[in-house]
Amino acid sequence: MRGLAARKTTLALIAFLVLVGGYPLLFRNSYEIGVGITAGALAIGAVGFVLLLGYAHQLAAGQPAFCMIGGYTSGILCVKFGWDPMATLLLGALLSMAIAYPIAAPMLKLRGFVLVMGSLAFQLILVVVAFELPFTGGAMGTYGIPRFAIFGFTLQSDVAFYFVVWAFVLATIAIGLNIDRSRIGRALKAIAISEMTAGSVGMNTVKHKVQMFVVSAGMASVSGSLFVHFLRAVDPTVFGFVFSLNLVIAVIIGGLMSIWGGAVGAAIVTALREGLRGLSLPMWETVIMGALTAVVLIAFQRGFAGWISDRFDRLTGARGGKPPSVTEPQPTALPRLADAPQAGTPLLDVSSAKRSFGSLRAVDDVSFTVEAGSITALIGPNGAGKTTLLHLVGGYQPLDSGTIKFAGKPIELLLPNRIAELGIGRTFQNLQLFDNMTVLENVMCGRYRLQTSGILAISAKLPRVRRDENDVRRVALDCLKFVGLQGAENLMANELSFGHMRLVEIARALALQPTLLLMDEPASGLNDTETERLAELIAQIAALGITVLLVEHDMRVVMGLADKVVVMHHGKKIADGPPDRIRAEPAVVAAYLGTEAYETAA
Amino acid sequence: MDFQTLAQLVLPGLTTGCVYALIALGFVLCFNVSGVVNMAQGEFVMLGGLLGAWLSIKGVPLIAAVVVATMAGAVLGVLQERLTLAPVRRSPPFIQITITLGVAVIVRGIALIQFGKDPLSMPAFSGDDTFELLTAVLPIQTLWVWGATAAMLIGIYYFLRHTDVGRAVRACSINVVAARLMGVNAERLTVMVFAIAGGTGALAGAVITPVVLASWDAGFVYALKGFIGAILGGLRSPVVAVMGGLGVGVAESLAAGYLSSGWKDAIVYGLLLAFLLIRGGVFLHGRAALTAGGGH
Amino acid sequence: MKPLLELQGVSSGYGRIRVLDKVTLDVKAGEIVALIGANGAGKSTLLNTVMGMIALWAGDVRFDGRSIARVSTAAIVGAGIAQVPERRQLFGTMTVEENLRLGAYTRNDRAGVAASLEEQFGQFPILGERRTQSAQTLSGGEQQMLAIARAMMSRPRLMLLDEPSLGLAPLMVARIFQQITSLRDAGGTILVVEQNARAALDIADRGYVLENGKITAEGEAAALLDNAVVQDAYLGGSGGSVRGMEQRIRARRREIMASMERRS
Repeated sequence: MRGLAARKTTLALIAFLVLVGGYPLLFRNSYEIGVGITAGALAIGAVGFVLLLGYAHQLAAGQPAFCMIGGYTSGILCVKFGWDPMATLLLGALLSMAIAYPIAAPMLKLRGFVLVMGSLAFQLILVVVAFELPFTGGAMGTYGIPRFAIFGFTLQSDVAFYFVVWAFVLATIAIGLNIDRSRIGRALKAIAISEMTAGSVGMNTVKHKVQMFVVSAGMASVSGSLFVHFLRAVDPTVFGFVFSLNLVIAVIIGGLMSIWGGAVGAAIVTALREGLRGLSLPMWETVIMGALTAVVLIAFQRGFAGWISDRFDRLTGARGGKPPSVTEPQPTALPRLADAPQAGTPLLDVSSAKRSFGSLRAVDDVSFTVEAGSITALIGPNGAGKTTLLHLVGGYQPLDSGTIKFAGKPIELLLPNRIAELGIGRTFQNLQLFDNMTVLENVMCGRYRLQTSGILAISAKLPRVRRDENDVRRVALDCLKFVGLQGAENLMANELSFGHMRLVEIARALALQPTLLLMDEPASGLNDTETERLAELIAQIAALGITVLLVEHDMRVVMGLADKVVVMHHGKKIADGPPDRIRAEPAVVAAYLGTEAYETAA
Repeated sequence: MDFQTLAQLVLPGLTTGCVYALIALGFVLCFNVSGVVNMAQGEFVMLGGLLGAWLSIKGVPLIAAVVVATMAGAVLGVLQERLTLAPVRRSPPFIQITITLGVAVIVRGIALIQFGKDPLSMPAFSGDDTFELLTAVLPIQTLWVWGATAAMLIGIYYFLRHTDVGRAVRACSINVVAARLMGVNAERLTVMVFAIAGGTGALAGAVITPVVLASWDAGFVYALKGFIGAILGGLRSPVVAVMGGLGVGVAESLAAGYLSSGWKDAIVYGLLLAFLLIRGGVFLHGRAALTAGGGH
Repeated sequence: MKPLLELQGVSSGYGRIRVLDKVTLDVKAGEIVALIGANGAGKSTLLNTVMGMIALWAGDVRFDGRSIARVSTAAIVGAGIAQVPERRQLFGTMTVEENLRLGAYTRNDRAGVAASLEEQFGQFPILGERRTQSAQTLSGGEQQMLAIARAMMSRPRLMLLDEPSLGLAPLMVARIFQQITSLRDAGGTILVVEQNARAALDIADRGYVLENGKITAEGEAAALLDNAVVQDAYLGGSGGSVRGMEQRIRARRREIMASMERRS
């Protein structure tokens, strides 16, 4: 698949160079070149927006606020202070990113529609500010902006400017692709599916959303600067609500998840507008844009770029093919855990944990320990509080009181991604795979906490980033071999059967190199054969030195595997000990089977 | 700050607030039943106003123009739900929201083509006289706006509280699974709610046009202001949404009166942003923040 | 006598996950049938499948002889089946009376609905006292009564109760189960799903045991109360096929640990 992706990129690059290079040969007059320039400037903003909207699913529709900051910075510095245009472009970008950084975290705490409105409110506030402040030129704005120049070298011809703009587009696309194919790209895709699950493999969701917000702000700013150097003027209406709409629509039409799509969408939107103008139907632009947006989202969410990519896959036969038959798990594929804690010592220590929801005491003064190197099962009837307890350990619910210690360290205040960073892995009852990635990529996500490349290194695609990715890929393949899914790497995660998807989730948790593995009803939804294989797999995992805490209903698995069984009922712990003792304990039997209906009546 | 200036600002603010209140109510109803925030909500208002104005310019009697405009809004609501939302019910929310954005743009575009760039006006329903209330001087049309709004609010209230179908709508917004177990058809109710939201929005647009003029691009700002009212009630409470919408109208009018008209928008949006951020838990940390978040 | 409700080889599930595996059971008119089993066995899924909330993958569900496998939930309620959902699922912010009226949503006879309302207040006087209070202010036991009364408002011929004892104190459990018995005595037919096996089998005529989506035992309720059979289903005790897999898993674990010792 790596070869295929590389081929697609090469082809896309060739197509890009041909189209961009060929355009000025066919469309020579200054108006048409101007159209090419605006398409390019829009493309830069669009690629940035793809990273924010398409990848991270953050519909911060007010991003053009940063186009405005970039545009006004360029305009004012050039006109009022005689700065060099390229310098103003760079300064504008830095300024935009500096402004974006502090507002990103609070803004991105909003979700969904609230985020749309919040960010649009921000943009509209800036528009008003631009209107009202005399410094920005008020309603008239700033005009007389000079032609673009690169450190003293003025671009006299429009064609030269056209190529410079599209060179910026290419650079933006390169950065976008580098991010896409890195741990950050995987993190963004994971965030789009489920922030909770992304957190469980250690991903710092806030950090990456902020990073994309800032990166996208920088790109928007460059876009804005280039626009105003083309328009030779800037005023508050240039980057208003209509511009926001155009940007969103460009991204959607081009393809939400596609970096190239940003450029494709920008070109289509611009071409449409010019085409309609040419046909003397400028009023139709709005309707057609809106219709295209709705149609693309309803019928083909991957947009034009996605459609082209699919056609290519089909032509080259990359898709299709049968899912693999079950291969045998290879227990030797993974090494024993290095620095495994000494067997028998307490690894997880839950002490007087309490958590209530209103008057419901979901977890009521529960204490137990999980010994290193053991398999511990947590069982109990419906509503006993097991899931809540697992959430408390995993970082998804705050404790009302009590402590939870991992290897002696208190973890009850830590967020899910910090807990994963400490080496606690998780699988989920209702399967939380990242549907938008392949099996291999899902497992590679598990490796996140052990990767260290930052956004700058990734954007620049330094050699150590490439080496790191190769390592991660190798380990991920080993994890897949261990669970018996060799050969399934390149399938999309949701193309597998349910039982196999379970195995992918386990492989992903193993990639994290956990000391402790929390499993939430792993046998749920499996048939008898699959259940028995699962039990064997868990035994092999324990043999690697990984401690397992298992919430499970299937008593065959619990009683067969567990060294210790902890029983909960109505939020309290009612028993704990080896399986054979537990199953005979009267309190446990009563909890499961119930009490006489008329016991306390009369 | 003398009383007369205050009244002269508050009462007209209440009038525009009526429109925002109805938009807010539309947001809350649609959201509660379908889980989608309809970004096209403001466009119903715009369309009602423009269509009513256009018809009356063509010589159609006012009452008929208003009725047709209202029905057009209802029909539009139904079409939007059936054509653009029902097919994507299982898609992630942000895609559904973006689709409503697309619809909003389509409606704007059609309005632009059909009615042109310039704002249209409609004659006041019962003449251009003014009347006095609490020392403020108001156009008679104000009474039409207040009256129509009150009638719609009372109608919707009665519908929700005292009819079987209205009760079913409320049930869907509380617990749609349980509602289904009672035999409620949630899909049909969604269509009905969208029709109501569309119709009431359009009627509001029609009655306010003699006061503020109707323009093809007015929809989005209406929606934003109505949204403020809706979000104050957490998108759940119709009563708070209505109060909120009225409040936004009054706040906006006061801001325009005491500060400049340009800054009034910035202040309203700034307050919205601040409210959203606080509600979104910008001051929360740690695990408690995981359960906050605002929005849906 | 033909059963009122029949499930024949029913398989169903959520998304890709199979929960029920060829389940066959029946409920005859005028009896109480208990369906017991551990968590995750598929009990709620079964009730939801009967109500048409989940589509069947295989098999058939027949009510009074006619198949309801592809019928909408609304039509099933209209045909005379009502469910009292797990954890009540009341409309918390609506009043007791509004909740009851919603139970009668599929009925068209105004006068009849009013009469049914009074009838339920007669059966559960406490609900009458609280008729204008919002449902969430009621105690656990009162909420369960409201949930049952709400289901009764559609005048069902068959009532499906999903874990009525959940979250209730033992005294309330006794009261509720007494209510269920009177419903049967008044001519109703009831399928009650429960984790609390003893309470359910105490009042039932017949019972079925559901394990991992399959029926593993059935018979007269009194016979099922025998500890060995039911205990097996929950905790994998003294007998049955359950033991086989458990033994194998234990053996494999020992082997793996032994070979690990040998390697190090």
